[in-house]
Parts: sequence; structure tokens; C-alpha cells
Amino acid sequence: MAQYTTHNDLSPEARTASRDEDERWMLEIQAQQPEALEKLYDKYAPVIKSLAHRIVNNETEAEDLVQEIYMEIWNQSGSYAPEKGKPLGWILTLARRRSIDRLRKRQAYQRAEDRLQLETEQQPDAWIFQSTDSDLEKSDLRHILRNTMETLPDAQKMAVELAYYKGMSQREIAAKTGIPLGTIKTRLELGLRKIAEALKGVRDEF
Amino acid sequence: MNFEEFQQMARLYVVGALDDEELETFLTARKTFGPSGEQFLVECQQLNEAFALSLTPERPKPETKIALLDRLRQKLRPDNSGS
Repeated sequence: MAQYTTHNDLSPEARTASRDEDERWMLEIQAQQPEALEKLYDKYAPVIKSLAHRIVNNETEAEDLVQEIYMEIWNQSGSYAPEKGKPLGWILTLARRRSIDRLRKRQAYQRAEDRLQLETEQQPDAWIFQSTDSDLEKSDLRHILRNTMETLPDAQKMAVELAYYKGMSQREIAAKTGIPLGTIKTRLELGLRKIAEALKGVRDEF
Repeated sequence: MNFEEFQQMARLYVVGALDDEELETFLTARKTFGPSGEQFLVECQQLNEAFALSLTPERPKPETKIALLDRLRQKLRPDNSGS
């Protein structure tokens, strides 16, 4: 299996350098330098494809989305401001939004939902435990998330999954699952709070 | 809304789980909490990154990069400078 080095596989010092590099490339993209977009592509396209693929559940569409997302990074780079957060956060927010837009527009949306429901019922941990890549073990972040998710009740995992990867609001999750809105709110709040708490230890490291 | 309630909504906000009405309430409250609210939101963005980075990276096909760079070159051509 191909080995990838992603931002969260790096040492704290290297992560800081990586963030500085990202910010420099974003500024160069704002200055319309295409080489910077190519560098950003080489660094993050695998992460963006995995996110898009996870959301739309279709590899061809995920490939197409990678291209669209990078064009949007180029076109919208003027709205990126370093003081509002790291480039990666901005890029991933954009990538997730675009992927969810695509999912919602797709005629096969219902089919994807059905598949998700089936996956959730049959393999509640599938979304986070799907890989056996040894690289996962090197990643603090992935390791922490995996451990945290292991401790979440299935109901909380499902609520978090539907919100993040399917772009559903609390009300939409309640309508889809037939579970009272108040229960969904509680599950989401508890699940997200536990994950956020677990991430505090690595806050400055990725 | 107190700060704890703001924090709860902030986590939901970054993963996009707020309904329209809640979003409006949150955005109004966001203005009242100023820098501390914004700082907490930046911290919450970690959730957004964490979910994406927890997935196993998938390298796109080489054709995807070629097509992207081709689109970019087209866009940068002088006759397309206005687009």
C-alpha cells in the first residue's frame, strides 16, 4: 500500500513548519501563482479525496470533486484570512461543504442514505475503523480519534456521522431516524464534547 | 445564552448540525462573546479537521491533477483574464 505523509503524521516542529508552508502557499495563490496551488494539491489532495469519497460514496465523483475543490480554492483564495484559522481548516471546510452540496444534488442521494443506514446497522464502527494501513498507527490524531470513537455509544457515533459526513442538521437527523429531536441534540452534544475533549491534548500539534 | 451554551452550539456549528433557526441564534450570540467566543470557535475547527484527517488518505488519479492544471492554465490565459 502506498505510504503517505500527512500533516498529522509529523513531529510538532514539522507541523509548525508545515502550517507556515501552507500559509505561504495560500498567500502565493492569492497572488495568482499556480505553482503554489500545485504544491497544495500534492500535499492535501489525498486527504481531500478521502473526505469527498466518504461523503459522496462514489469514487468517480470524489475525483471530480477534488478538481472542483482545488479550482474553488484558487477562485476563493481571497476570502482566506490567516487570523481566522489555519489554511487546512479553511480548505477542509470548503471541501466538506462542496462535497455535501454534491451529495444533496445527486439523484442517488436516497440510495446513499440507505447504504449508510445499512453500514451503520451492520458495522457501526466502519467509518473510523475502516483501514488497516500501518500508517494509521503512526498518526497521533487518528489514533486518538479511533480510541475516542471506541468509547462512544453507537447512537452517539451515528448522530455524529450523519451530521459531519452527510451534512444533516439535528432536525434532519431526527426526521430521518424517527428519534426525538431532544435525544438527537443530547447525543450530538455528548459525542462532540467527548471528541473535543480528547483532542485537547493535541490541540497545538496539528 | 451563557458561554457554556455558546460552546455547545459552537461544536454543532463547526460540523454544520445547527438548524436555520439555531444558526441565527448562534450567530447573534457569537457577536456578544467577542474574542473569547472567536477563540473557542478556532479551537472547535479542530473537530472539523480531525474528522477529515482521521480518514485514510486516497491519492487521486494522475489524470485529475493533469485536468486541474489544464483548467488553471486555461483560466490564466490572457483572453480569460476577466473570468
